[in-house]
Amino acid sequence: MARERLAKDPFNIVITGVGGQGNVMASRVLANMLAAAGYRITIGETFGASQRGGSVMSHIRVSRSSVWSPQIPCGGADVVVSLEPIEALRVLPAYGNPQVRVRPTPARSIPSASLPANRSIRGRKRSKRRLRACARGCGWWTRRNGRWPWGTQFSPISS
Amino acid sequence: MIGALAAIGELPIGRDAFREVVARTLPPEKLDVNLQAYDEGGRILRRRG
Repeated sequence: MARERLAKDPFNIVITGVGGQGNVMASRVLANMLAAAGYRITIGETFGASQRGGSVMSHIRVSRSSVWSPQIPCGGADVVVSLEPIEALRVLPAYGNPQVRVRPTPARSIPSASLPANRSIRGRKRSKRRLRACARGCGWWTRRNGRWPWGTQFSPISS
Repeated sequence: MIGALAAIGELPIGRDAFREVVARTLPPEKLDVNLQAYDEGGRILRRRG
């Protein structure tokens, strides 16, 4: 159920992904929705290589009373939405904080560049090790079930 | 994605506001598929708890 008021003011949202996933579009739709509800919205976008597969990040700051600077301070994100799991790993160390909860979705969107279908078994194992090390470095790799936090199975992407 | 974000309950947004904005910014034939995606995002998040 939607809240009547913001949990915090300003409420900071980071939407991240790679080019072509609709990151900027999503941030504008969300900002329009909140602006229509009477909130003051500031969006800051970084999309240098957008639509060419590069990282894209939008900072959305929502306030009832005032306009805030477009840059969310380090560790200041209240919600991080990642359209691409690996981009969450990039964003969380900078903007996450102990209160940010990771809620994985069952999307199987491991980067195809890392695990192409025709790569050798040995190469795939090496990629898995590197990605796990990255996740451990961010402090949210879980060993409990031996899977990635977002439930990705390490099968090659064939289609 | 926005459906999932709405489902966490931290923001004062809802399906009607989403419909209104999508109807205003996208071609009419894309409205239904976007609403389905909105609903699916909420369902996925609720299912995962």
